[in-house]
Amino acid sequence: MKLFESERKVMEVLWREGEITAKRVSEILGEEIGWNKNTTYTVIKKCVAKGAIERIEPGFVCRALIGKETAQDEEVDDMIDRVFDGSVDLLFAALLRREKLTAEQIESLRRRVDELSGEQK
Amino acid sequence: MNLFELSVTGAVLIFAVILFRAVGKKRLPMRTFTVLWHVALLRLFLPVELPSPISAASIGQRLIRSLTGTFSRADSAGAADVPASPAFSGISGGTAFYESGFTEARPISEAFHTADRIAEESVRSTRFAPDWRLIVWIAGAVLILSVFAVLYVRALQRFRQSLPLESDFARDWLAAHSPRRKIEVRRSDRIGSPLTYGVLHPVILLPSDTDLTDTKRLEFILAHELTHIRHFDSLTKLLLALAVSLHWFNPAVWVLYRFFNRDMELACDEAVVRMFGADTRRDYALMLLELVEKKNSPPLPANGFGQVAIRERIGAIMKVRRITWAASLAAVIAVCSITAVFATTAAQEKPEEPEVPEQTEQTDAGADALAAEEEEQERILEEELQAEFQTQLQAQVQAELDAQLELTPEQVPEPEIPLWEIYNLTEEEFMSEKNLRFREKLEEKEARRLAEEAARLQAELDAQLNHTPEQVPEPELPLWERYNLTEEEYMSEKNLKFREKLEEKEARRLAEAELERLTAEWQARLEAEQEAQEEVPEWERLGISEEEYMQGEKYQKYREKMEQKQAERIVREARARAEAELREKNARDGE
Repeated sequence: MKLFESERKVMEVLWREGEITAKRVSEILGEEIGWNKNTTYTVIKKCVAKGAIERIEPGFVCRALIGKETAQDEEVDDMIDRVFDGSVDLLFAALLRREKLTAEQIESLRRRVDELSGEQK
Repeated sequence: MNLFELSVTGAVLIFAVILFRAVGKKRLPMRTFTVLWHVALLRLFLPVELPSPISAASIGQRLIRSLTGTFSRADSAGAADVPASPAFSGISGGTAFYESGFTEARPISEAFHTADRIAEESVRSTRFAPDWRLIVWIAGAVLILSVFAVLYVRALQRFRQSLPLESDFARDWLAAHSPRRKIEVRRSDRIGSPLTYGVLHPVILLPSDTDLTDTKRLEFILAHELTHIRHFDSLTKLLLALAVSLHWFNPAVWVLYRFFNRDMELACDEAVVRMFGADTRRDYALMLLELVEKKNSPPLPANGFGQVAIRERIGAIMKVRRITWAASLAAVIAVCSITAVFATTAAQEKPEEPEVPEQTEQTDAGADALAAEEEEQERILEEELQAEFQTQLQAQVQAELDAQLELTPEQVPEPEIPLWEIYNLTEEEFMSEKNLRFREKLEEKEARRLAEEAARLQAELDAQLNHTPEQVPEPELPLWERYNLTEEEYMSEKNLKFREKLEEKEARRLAEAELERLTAEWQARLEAEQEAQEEVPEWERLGISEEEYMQGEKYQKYREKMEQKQAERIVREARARAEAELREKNARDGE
């Protein structure tokens, strides 16, 4: 599912804090990004409608139904489609082009590639 | 001024500005036009009459008057049928017509014309009847206003879900360029191009995918939005929405809506180019072009980068020139003169009103002459009637007075119960002394009553003589007809009633006298009792010496109060006892 920025922010709070009440979420977000209570509740309700959050009564407790990594994956897929016309190669090329990878990062990248190719075999 | 008048005056002004804009937009700063649009907006809202002889409305009114002078007489007759509605009573010139035609052309004697009375009442009744035009207008206004409201609220909700923008550059830039007004800058993935919203607490919203490293671009954006904020464009948008809601029936206001929005954008573009210099024009124009690629248009209450006629904007940007003295001066003059001519209303209608009936006489002499003759005849007839009535009334009253004054005790008709029996006397007793006293009393009372009656009738007559024609009441019925009797019956009956009343009064007076007497007796008795009683003296009760009580200043008020209370108590007691005694007596007498 596609999460808007606002919804992602709410999810991030839940991923960080676990299961907490909507009220607590609004308090946190009020401090962090300056949302008022109504705004937070509106976004939470949107997430519930999308199926990203489960609402537990009593007390409007929120539970994330979608994991952080899953969300990230979806986000990446979306970006690949949008920015790289669906080509993962182009994404790689873009990453490597940036010349910002440290030696460690290159190393971990290579390891992952090996694992992948190992699995595929 | 009512809404319709405001709308029409506004429309005239709007069209004037449009014409002026078409001519002057290449040479004058765009700010000129936004100022004029503001004037137009004000004109649509403020029911302020600014009477001025050079007003377009004055000129127009004179035109209308000279053209439709022949119709005004006929109109005044039909004016009674025009339902007066709060929102629609015609152009300022037209209203003057209806009003003057209605009031001036009708003399006071109208009250006696039934036809006119009916017309009057129809106007009165329609004034309070629901006007369908008003209902339609309200429906339209409410509809449009609610559409705006819904869009606004939804957009605001979306805006509030924005996230803070992490850009020191943006923060610093805004702090530097708007030190007094705090402007927040945030980002959102729900908008396509930068916008700003909020009247009291302005917020600039940038799309999340804005390249924050491209500071030049960022500056352009911020400068553009900052100008919107400086010009209070958010507020203007709200006012525009309101104006369109109220004046939805007026196409000129929709035109204003479109032009004003566009000119607000153009004014901001101009400001950006001025701020950064003419050589940045190209970059800015290019940036605008790129923004056009994004299809999202900014929601209603926000000033976006304006997908509004991007071509016009780019064209305008490229042609922005430095503001010259001449241009500034021309702008100021233009604004003042356009305001003076088109924002003002028709001048001095009141002194002209008397003219209108004269004018109508000139223009429709035949009909007028006839009307005048009729009026004259009416007046003569009235006077005659009045005179006749007065003589009649006078004669009547005089006759009454004479009749009553001539009545002597001897002429008093024989009562059913002989007078002496009423007083429990024999005929002889009554005839001797009593009769004399009675007759004397009767004569006395009779004289007094007649004097009063005469005075009253005289006063009535005077009042009636002083009545103006409108106030002349219906002639009163003769006294005996009022009671549904014949003259003879009245003459005898009346005497009897009078006698009855007299006796009633006498009995009452005697009873009161008796009561007083008894009360006094009782009072004396009670006072004596009290003295005789050996009550505890006040000073002993208070625990002080007699001397102190009698002479001490402290106790003076107390003493006075006590004494007063006692006296009152005695009087009350006496009266109660007297009443009781009297009642007993009456009961005994009855038996």
